[in-house]
Amino acid sequence: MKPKRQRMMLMGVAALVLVASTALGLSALGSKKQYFMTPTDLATRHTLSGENFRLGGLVTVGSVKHLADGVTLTFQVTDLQNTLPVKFRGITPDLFREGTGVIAEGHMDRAGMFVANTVLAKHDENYMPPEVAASLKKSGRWKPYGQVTR
Amino acid sequence: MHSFANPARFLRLASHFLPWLMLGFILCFASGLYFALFHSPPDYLQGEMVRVMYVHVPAAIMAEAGYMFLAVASFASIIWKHPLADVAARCAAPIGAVFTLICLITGSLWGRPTWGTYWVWDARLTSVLVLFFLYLGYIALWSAIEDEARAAKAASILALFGVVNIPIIKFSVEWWHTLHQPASIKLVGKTTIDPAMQLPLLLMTLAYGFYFAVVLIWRMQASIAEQRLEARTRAQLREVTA
Amino acid sequence: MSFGPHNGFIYLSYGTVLVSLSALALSSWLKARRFYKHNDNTR
Repeated sequence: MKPKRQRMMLMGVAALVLVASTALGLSALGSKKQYFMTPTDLATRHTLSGENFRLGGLVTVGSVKHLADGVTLTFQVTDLQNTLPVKFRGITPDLFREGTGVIAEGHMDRAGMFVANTVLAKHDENYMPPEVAASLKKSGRWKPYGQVTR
Repeated sequence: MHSFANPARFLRLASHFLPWLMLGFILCFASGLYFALFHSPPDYLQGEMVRVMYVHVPAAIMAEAGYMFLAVASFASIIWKHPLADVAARCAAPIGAVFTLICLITGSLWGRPTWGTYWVWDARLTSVLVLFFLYLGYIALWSAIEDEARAAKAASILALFGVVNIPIIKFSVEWWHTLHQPASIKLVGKTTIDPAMQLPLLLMTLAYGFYFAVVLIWRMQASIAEQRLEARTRAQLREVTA
Repeated sequence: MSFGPHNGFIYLSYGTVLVSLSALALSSWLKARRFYKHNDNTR
């Protein structure tokens, strides 16, 4: 019995050390483990002009505008607290829609506009047939920025 | 606990359950594929692409469940030093690795047409890749160390260290900003997948589970038979030399 | 049968699942069978 209990003790101590060092390691990574920054993150953490970073949020409903050249579009990215204007030249993914998530990589220009080099669509955790979505919209229970509020 | 861990008893039980597990797999897999491909609605946003979910999400579940199995068996191996626990862990590792690979490949194929990219280094995708490397490391340790007892010990310790990665995978989408969407099936609270889409998901998850059990039993049968053969050969060799 | 514009991605992902699962199952089953045969001979 004794060596078995000893092994158990040893495992317990090892587990504690492991959890503590993982937590330390993760906190040392800091903001590096965030894949993108929200408009609110940018408002509180300012600067970063000219530097490349990823901006994430929801495409503001009614904000997508195609410019006259046919390949450039502008839209607003919001986290429902702060909003940032974005300019992008290129082809957006199929799931890029107003009201859904988006992650853009690029930099801020002097005028305070985010100039994106790439745009990725981020979708939420809701899956439903088109008819269900249509009936939600019809009955007025559709939430324009995702169906679940957290 | 220990009576179940007897290899002879395990083999008897396993061969008794094997046909039923195979039947379960065939029924769930066939009906799961039918519902997944032909008899489920498209998604309001991503259309037909939602069908990749039915092979991707169950693979992710099995990748994590397989690792937990590996860790529990490794724990039993270290504490009770029972040979059957080693066999179970060693045989489960390649199955878990294959499910992790399926999860990574189907996820990548799902990401390109929906997100617009095959791969990003966000917290969720990276931690699942780490899981795949943990499986590979576990398998490599077994083949790198000649002495069985030492190999079992080293591999078990690695498996237990890797357990920290499991909650990181699970909560990565909540703790940090990621491209990957948050979980639809929650520990607490309502599932955000339409019931018509839950059925193929459930059937495919069950099918993968049955598959895991069947292949695990096959591998364990082979492994136990191999051990016995080795023991017998060694005994015969001793007789000859004596 | 077609699943629209991204047909190929759906076929590829289901193909990946079928190929990798059958390859692992086949190799495991062959191992089990081989050792059982051997075991019976030496019993």
